[in-house]
Amino acid sequence: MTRNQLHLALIGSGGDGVVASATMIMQTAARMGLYGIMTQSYGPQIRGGESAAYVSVSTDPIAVVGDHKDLVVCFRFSDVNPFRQEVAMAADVTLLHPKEEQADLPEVLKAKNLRRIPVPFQELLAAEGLPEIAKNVMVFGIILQALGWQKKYGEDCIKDIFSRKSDAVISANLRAFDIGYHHLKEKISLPTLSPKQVVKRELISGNELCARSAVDAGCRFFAGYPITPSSEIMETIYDLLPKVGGKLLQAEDEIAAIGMVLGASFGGVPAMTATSGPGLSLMTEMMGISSMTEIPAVIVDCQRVGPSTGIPSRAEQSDLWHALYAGHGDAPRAVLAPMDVPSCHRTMFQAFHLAETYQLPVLVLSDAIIAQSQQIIDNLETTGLPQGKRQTFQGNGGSPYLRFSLAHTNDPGWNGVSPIALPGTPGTMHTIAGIEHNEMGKISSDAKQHEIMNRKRFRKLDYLAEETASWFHIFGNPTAKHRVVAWGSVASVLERYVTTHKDMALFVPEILSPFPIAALQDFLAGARRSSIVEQNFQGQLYHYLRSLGTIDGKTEKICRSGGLAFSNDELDRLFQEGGA
Amino acid sequence: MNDLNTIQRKPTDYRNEYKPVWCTGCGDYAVLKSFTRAFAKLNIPNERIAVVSGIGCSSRLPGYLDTYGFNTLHGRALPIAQGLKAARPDLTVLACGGDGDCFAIGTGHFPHAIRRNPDITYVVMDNSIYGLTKGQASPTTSRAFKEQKGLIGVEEPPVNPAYFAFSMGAPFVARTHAGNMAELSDLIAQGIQYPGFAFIHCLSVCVTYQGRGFQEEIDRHVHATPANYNPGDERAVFDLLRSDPFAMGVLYKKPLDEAAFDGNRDVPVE
Repeated sequence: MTRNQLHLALIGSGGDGVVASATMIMQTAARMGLYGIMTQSYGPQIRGGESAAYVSVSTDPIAVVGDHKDLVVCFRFSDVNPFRQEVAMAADVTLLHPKEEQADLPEVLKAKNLRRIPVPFQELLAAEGLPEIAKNVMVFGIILQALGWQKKYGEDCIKDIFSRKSDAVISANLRAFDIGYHHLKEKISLPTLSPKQVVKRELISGNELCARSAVDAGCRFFAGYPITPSSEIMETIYDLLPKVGGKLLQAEDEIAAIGMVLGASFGGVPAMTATSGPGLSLMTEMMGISSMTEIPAVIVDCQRVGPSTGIPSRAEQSDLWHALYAGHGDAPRAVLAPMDVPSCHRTMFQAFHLAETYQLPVLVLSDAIIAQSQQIIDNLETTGLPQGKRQTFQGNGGSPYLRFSLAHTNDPGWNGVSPIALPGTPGTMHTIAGIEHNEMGKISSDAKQHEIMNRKRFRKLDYLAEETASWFHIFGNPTAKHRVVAWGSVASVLERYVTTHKDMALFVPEILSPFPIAALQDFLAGARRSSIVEQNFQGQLYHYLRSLGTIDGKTEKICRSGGLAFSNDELDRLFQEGGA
Repeated sequence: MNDLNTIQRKPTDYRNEYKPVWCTGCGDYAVLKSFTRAFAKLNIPNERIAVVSGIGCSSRLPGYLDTYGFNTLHGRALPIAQGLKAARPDLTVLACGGDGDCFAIGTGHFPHAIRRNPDITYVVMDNSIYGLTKGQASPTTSRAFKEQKGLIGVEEPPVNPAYFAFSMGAPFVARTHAGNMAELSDLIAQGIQYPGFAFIHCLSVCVTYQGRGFQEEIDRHVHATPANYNPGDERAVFDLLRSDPFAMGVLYKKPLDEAAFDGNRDVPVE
């Protein structure tokens, strides 16, 4: 039996090695030439507590985990309950569970042609004198055999993972793997995946890629304060920056983090920070001074459920309004959004390009799913991505330097940007301030001057919008009757959905502000039905697009709170019901 | 570049043409002048200097200097100065602000700046009042003054800035007042030359909300540190800072390994 996708779930609690085993499967798939995606689901506990990892492997690129599981490894039936909303069984699912598990099969694990395989995890290890810690490697062996994957790939994976450990550790783990790999006596007939090409691909998370692509795009300074689900960006960039002469400061809070970013950027060094909703709230005042002093900054927000602490480990799209509007006063900014792991690469280039070119804050709205998914990806192209540099002042023949020069106001080709003279440049000393100022940077309380400067600052957005008018994707048949708009990780789910719904087309903006309005209007023209699908309670994108005049009351608002990704079944139901 | 090294800059070379917003008699004029004197003393090229401030009367200071400056947000001078210094170690970075900046809204940044110990000189102009918002009590306003003026927060004791800085581990702590420009400019120069985080607490009178008598009051009380005082003796420093709010000069100076600051500073240590 050949299929092109397989979906796995590993469910357990701390110490079961759920995530470690799943990661090994992903690493092996990446070695074999397969594609894959893995997400984690966990509660607020740091250690212990229930934990699940979902893995989908495929012969083709895949960005969303499959809804119906073909193979489930469950370490305790009691661990299943917290995940009952997100695990659905395929009709002929295979379930591995500990032999000693005596409880009744939980409802969620029941399936039409369920194949139950009890495994004596503890006994197997004990018989070989292996410690409990080796369980994840043994489970990895069992799964690999169940999948019918070659043993060699698993062994290579283990050697790789433990390459820095002693030979004794490596051989103990290989033994644990071997026990697992040869444990199942009967053949499990899971569908076989045949890679289209045997090539080793890269396994990376959205956060790791955000960090790496930021450095590739020119980021040389990072300051941040750890927060779930963004911390891996700081952890990754901490390793990368020193290699390119960059610096990192771990700040005492998010206010300091963005402050440090602005200080570095004032010094002429492309800089960024990464956070999640609560941190973004703290950064709000600083976003304003970035707009006001025209100092570039890139801010990544890995959205989680809000408001307040919300659900730290789960994704939601409810920071959109904050990103668009937060802060007092009229403060220009750009807002970008990746839709899956690989698109983080392009987004980070876009972010630094816009921030540096237009001298303003750029927000990148990732989310917990994109941030923490591990995906097997192809090589990423950098050529062709925008890589604008900051326009620095090169001297103008003796007249005084004007930091916020309005000299070209009457030139229709002027994009509102005034060249920056960086500290260290002789003859162009000046002070910038969050207080309103004239073109010299001198403080001004004049109302007309304020209007002039607002026009200058917002003029940049007009030109930016021209450049970004094509920053969107259309999936499916663009002339389909039903046209849908979505962004972020939700767009990924819908991209998958429209491949099997030929009467639908999907519009995904890469930039949320300024929104590619003309493109969306073109996309919606002639639609019989249109829907905005998003994961927040209020329908933030829907109301935003209404306010822009891009959609009218006939477009459906399909939204619900975050915390759980949309499944195809749920989308079926939501589209059937129609939105508000 | 040769002529840059040979020119002897004057204090006035560091002032731009802007007229300060400060009231006549404000102590901050003297602080501004002391900044320029310190720069001239060290003959630092204007373009190598960046002064980062917060918000308040005193935080307007960078705007009157012919150097690079960033007048930021209330309480946030230190994070921005640290980001700048980390990204551009070739610059001479100073931070300045008022008592509200350092000891109210921005207090949280202070101990962490001290821990990181960047080569930044931080001058706090402490007038013990909120001048810009017209005379409310600040964290350094004395109980007596609050009582006399009927200000909110009468029962709360004031912060002891130098002691706070010392207790958090600041390696260079100095105190003076705007009435003594010679000492202030010398301390700023010392702070710039010190290869770490230098904190200078400067009493600077608000003539409008404290009255002109305040400088006289300061003049009556201030005195130099005792003749045998050793600013490297932590026990002596502790005793002095706990007991004497009017001893002026370098109060604490920790010997720092200059090698650790290689490439992170541009002004040679004397």
